[in-house]
Amino acid sequence: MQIVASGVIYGPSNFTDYDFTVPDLGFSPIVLLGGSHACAYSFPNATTLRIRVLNNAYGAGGNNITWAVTNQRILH
Amino acid sequence: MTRRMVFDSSGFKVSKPGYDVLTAGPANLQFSSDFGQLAHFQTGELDCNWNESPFRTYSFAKTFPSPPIVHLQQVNASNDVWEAGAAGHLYWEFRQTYTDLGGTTYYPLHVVNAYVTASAIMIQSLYTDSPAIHPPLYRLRYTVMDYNL
Repeated sequence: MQIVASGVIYGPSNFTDYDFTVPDLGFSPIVLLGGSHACAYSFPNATTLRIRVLNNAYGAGGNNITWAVTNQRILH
Repeated sequence: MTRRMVFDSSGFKVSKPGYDVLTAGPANLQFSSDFGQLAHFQTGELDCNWNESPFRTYSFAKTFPSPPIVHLQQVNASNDVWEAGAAGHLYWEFRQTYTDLGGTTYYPLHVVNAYVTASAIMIQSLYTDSPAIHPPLYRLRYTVMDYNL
């Protein structure tokens, strides 16, 4: 598994969407997230990753979120 | 036969079967040295059976530029059953049922809240309404991945 796109959300806000342009992989890849927030993600179109920041576990702002799109598709 | 592999000054690439590696986009590459790599950095287990409001800090062996990708998993140490897993942030709670000799029933609640910063795993463990029994021994298993983003 490799990372095809990645980035950091600096100073994320709760209940906010963040969109990022990513390569079109032709399938829904596994996305890895790091940080203290609960997050959800979706692909509203083939080249957009949308991360929804749901809450901050610690209640303190400023803890960044790391995201990484892999080239691994979700296997069923 | 379609060219599947290139190794030159631009790097090393392998395409999917049927795709020319010289023209294939990211969707059709099985491997590219342009992509980032995940690497195992640190693994361990931490007991989570204390009752404190402040978070305890378990520092990594280094500070990352941003919070690393960390897989967290809850383990019931009494039966070695592995339960919920999550990346970066894991929250779980459970209730037990306990009836004392006087017939009063208690539902002690145990909450474990874990999250990741650029330099540490932070863990809060709380249990309440538990006058007579302690929560079972739960552990947090963590795997930290290093990366080049």
